[in-house]
Amino acid sequence: MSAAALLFWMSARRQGSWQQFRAAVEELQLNPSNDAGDDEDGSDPFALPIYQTLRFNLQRVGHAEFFSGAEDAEWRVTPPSLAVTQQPWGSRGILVGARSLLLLQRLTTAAGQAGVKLTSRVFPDYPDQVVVTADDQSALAAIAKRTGLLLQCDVSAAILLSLPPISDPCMRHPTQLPFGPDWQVGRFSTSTLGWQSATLSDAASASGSLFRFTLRHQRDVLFCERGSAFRVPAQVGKYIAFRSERHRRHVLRYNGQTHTLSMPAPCRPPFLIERALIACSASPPALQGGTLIYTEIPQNIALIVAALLHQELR
Amino acid sequence: MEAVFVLGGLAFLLALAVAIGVTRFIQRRRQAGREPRESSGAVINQDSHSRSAENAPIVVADQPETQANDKESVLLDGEVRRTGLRDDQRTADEAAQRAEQLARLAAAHRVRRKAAEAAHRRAEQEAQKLAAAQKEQQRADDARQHAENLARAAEADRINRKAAEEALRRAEAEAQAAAAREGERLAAEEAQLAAAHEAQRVADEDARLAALEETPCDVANEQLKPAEGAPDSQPIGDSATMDVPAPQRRDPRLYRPSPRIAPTPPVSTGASAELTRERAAPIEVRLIFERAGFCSVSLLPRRGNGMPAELLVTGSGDPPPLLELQDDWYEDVFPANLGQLLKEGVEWCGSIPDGRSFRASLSGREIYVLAPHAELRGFVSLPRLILGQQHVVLCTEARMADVRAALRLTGSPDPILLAQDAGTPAGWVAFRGVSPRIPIEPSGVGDILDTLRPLPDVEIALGGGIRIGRQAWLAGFPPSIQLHGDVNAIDSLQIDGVEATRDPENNCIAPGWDSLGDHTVWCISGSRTYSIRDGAEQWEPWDAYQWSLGELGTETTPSRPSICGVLVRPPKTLEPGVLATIIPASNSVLIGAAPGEIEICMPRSDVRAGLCIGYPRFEPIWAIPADAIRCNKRMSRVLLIGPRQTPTKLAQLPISMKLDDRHLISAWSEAILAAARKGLLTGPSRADIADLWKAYKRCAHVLRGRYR
Repeated sequence: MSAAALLFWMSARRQGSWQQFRAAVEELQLNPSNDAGDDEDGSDPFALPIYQTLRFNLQRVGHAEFFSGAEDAEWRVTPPSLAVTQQPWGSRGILVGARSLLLLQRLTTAAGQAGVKLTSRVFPDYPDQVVVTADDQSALAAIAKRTGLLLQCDVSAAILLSLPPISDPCMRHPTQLPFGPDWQVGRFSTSTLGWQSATLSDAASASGSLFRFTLRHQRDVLFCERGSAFRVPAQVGKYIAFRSERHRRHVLRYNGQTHTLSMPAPCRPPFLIERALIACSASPPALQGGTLIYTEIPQNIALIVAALLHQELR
Repeated sequence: MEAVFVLGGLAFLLALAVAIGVTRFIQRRRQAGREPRESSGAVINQDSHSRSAENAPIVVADQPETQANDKESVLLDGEVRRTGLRDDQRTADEAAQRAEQLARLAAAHRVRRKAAEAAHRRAEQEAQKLAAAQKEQQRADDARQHAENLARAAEADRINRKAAEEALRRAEAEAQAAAAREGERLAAEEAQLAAAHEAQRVADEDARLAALEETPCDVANEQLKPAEGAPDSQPIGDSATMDVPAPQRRDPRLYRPSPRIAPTPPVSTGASAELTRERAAPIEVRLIFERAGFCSVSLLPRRGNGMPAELLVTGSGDPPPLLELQDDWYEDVFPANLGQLLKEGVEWCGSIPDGRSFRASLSGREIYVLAPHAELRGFVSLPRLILGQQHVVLCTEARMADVRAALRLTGSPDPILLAQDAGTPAGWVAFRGVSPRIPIEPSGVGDILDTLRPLPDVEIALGGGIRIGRQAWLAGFPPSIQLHGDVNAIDSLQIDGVEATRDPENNCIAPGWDSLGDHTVWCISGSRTYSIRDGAEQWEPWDAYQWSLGELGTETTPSRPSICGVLVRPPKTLEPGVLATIIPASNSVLIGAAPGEIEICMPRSDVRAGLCIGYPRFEPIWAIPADAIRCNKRMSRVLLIGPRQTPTKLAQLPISMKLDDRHLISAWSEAILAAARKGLLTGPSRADIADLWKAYKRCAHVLRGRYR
């Protein structure tokens, strides 16, 4: 079975608990694919479990929301939508969210009647990416209406322009530093982009650093600044750490000729930003030599991403 | 009963009324009779006076006139006296009649009262009889129920006793088998020792021959002494002095397959106390194939009902806290010394917050049989090979030859050997691709190699597909129906009463087997049911993330848009259903086809990317510069961003409208006319689009004159 079967299962159930999700991953015999990436070999003891990998992949594309985004459930599949982006050669629509065999049949029929191209692309550990391409955006809108899909035009820009920057106060949730000798403390190094061993006193006296506190299976990521601690998402915290440095480090790279946006793998952007980037090319990022590469990124999209992350494009 | 009482009461009232009437009648009669009697009394008095007077003439009877008068008065008195006597006689007769009548009425009343009392008594007696009958019935029911309870208890006791006896028999059989194995082991050791002793003896003999002297050799006895004493070295007093209420560490057990032998009669019932103890949760062994041909082997404890999501345990291999994997399982545990644990067994114990103890156990063995599981991915341990199913056999390196030979007997294709460098535990190897085809009779003594001897049994297995309920599969993704076991013993397999056939993948299919509805699979050894159902077909969007980068939730801010999947939903302060529209920041005024449809978008100050987002309540047609008069004419354009729709006819506009609407119409026309005055070109620069723009300009001119 593939991740597509998992999405069919989620669509049939609409929403559920984390335990049900994990049980479905087990029952559907979903295993990590061999070509998931050249940096992720099977012997990596820190590799994510398959259910976490699938969860993040579903979340990145926008097929489902988990936990805090899933309202009163622990996961919930999003309504079937056509995410449309403008391309130099026309318009491209990606089928995102719930799907069923009936819905796919309707989409195939509508695409055939409209004379547009319907393709299915396979990516490891992702559900099949169903893509509709047309010369005109209105053709995609008509297909969406006929199929019963919700339409989101200019999806990447729409998502990015609805997100706060990392410096927004709502990103920081004040909290207390953990206490007790059992916590393992790690400090994010903006130079090596890895976690280095630290102590609680380091966190208490830090002038602006990201710390990770681990106790058994519990893990908290806190941004510590002048005796105060703030709970932040890990990927957001890394960019806040870059920003708070005296010599600010810029990790985003944009190639205007190939329209690719790249960054070191540990600096993967927050998943809603990543969702917008994946929507540009309808494909997940490629991992090459420790660098994440997003393709078909227009310059204005790259600029918005850089602005949200307080980075400068190089 | 009540009727009787009512009748009795009525009779009593009637009798009372009659008695009162009679009494009053008598009183009236007596009054009526007393008046003539008083007058007669006067007569009598007169008579007495006359008698005295008569006596007096008698006394003085010398006068003749007086005598004649006296005669007449005497006659008159006699006549009066006779008349009074007749009246008295009549009155007495009437009184006697009334008394007789009263007596009759009283007698009748007495009779009626007696009858009522008799009826009342009879009713009471009947009620008492009924109550007595009900009590009798209740007693009978109670007695019957008690008897049934006793029978059930006796039956349960019998079943328990039987289970205890069976367990005892199994324990004895295991003990016998263990003793036999121990005997074999001791014999082998003795043989080895004897051989060593013989070799030593030969060497000593040689030495003796060489040195011409003899030396006593008691090596074997010396070596055997500690071995004999070892099993009894377990400190019994330790467990007796322990005051631990719940978790009690035990030594891991060694696994031995259940021997399939005829049951023997019970010898003693001493094992019943042992049977009442709490059973240990099983620990399974799981093997998952990973990338590049690697595999990982783990321990998978089963999670029982009511078990906590996280559980601290202690025991073999220093286990980490157990975390829930799903409802019935805890997460995989990867001990460092897994190879040793698999061989010697695992025993974990812990305490549950409600005070109960938890024990998980894996009996040690040298051979593990693993197969695909219905709920778990990878291969999970099971008691023995199953015919026709894919397996992985995990065994110690010492048992490799035995396993290979045993697998060959089952008719399985040659399996692939996975050595330690492929991820198996230290000292263990795995055989991949084991698929037995021939049933093998077990040894009967519980040999560990019995796990590699598949039984000739058949099981209907439903697997694969997408299961969305306990026995329900999603339409389009039905289960694969397979027979496991001795398939040759099955003559017929039917699905919904139709003979099934095999597809190329050896799945059983029949016409309509994957259609919507309930289905039944039947063969002579058993049956299974499943159903095919449609999944959900309606999904609704919601505000998943509002002004957030995900992961951590933020407080609701109604003025911010929200995100759900790839959908951007408008702020709650706006009308629901409006669509987010992306436009260049230079053309931030949206114009619709109807006059008054105008929306001014505000570009974000913190994100200078040349784009801005708007939420118009209409379908935008044009995007024009916000300050058309001051923009760069050569760079700026009036952009067509919607369908080529002509402006709404002015005749369709209402004659009277609100002030706000008039302002909107005025702003709509002013924005168009400002761009027109600047002479901005349209984009795309096509003639048809320019003509469309002219139509809007004409409309704006007319409106400016009307609503100025």
